[in-house]
Amino acid sequence: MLDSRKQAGEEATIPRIVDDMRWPEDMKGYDVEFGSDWEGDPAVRVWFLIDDDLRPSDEKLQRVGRFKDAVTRALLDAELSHWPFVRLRAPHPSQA
Amino acid sequence: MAPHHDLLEQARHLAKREPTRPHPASLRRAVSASYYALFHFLVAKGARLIAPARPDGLRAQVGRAFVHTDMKALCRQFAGRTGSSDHVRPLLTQPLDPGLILIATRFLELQEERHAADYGMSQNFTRFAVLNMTDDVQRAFDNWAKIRSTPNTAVFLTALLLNRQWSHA
Repeated sequence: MLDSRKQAGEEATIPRIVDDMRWPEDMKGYDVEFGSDWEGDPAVRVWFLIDDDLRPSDEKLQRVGRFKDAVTRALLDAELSHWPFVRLRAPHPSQA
Repeated sequence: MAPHHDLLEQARHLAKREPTRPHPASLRRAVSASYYALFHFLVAKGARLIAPARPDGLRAQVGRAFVHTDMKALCRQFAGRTGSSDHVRPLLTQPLDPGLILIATRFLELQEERHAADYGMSQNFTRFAVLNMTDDVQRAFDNWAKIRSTPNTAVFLTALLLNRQWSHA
């Protein structure tokens, strides 16, 4: 019960944090997925949607890396009950 | 070249192996190699701090005692800023260096990615995401010079190996 209440609170908190960040234009959107990490501890994955790039520039890699780090830091500072993992994936065709 | 550099180079090679259509298996192995590059980097630094160079083989033996799950637990303490355990906290000088926080965070991220790459067969990786990981590891290596000599880093490296034993003492 407590866990589901916490999760519900965090379902609202995470978009507030993420939407507040300054996004690089490469990002198409994001999905949030609650679950567990590889050891079974509570985790939340924030998937940023970004098209694949077979030959990305160093500048783009660093720009996206800095953004990921900033989101991760903001989520960690929020002291969520689920450990945040910020990850990248290509948008589903319906999300492109 | 040190094993962690070899592993990172291998990760980059695998990520770019197929020029136009990256093979999922290449990308998965690249993710795994990226994690192990950082894992062996931290293990090497920890073993070097903890064990003398002689007799031959002692450092390698110490290096084999590092455990993935224990390293995860310790990295959570450093990455989360939510406080470290009772036996680690008195040894630390606050605030923690952002570079140390970042390397702990990076380790947790890559450990999770590596597990997804090796066991989460429903997950797909893009080349961009994988190159982003290799770039993250390279930056962790590059930033190490700024923090390697600090007392907090010595605590971090030692606790990567001993945190669990300390909590049972």
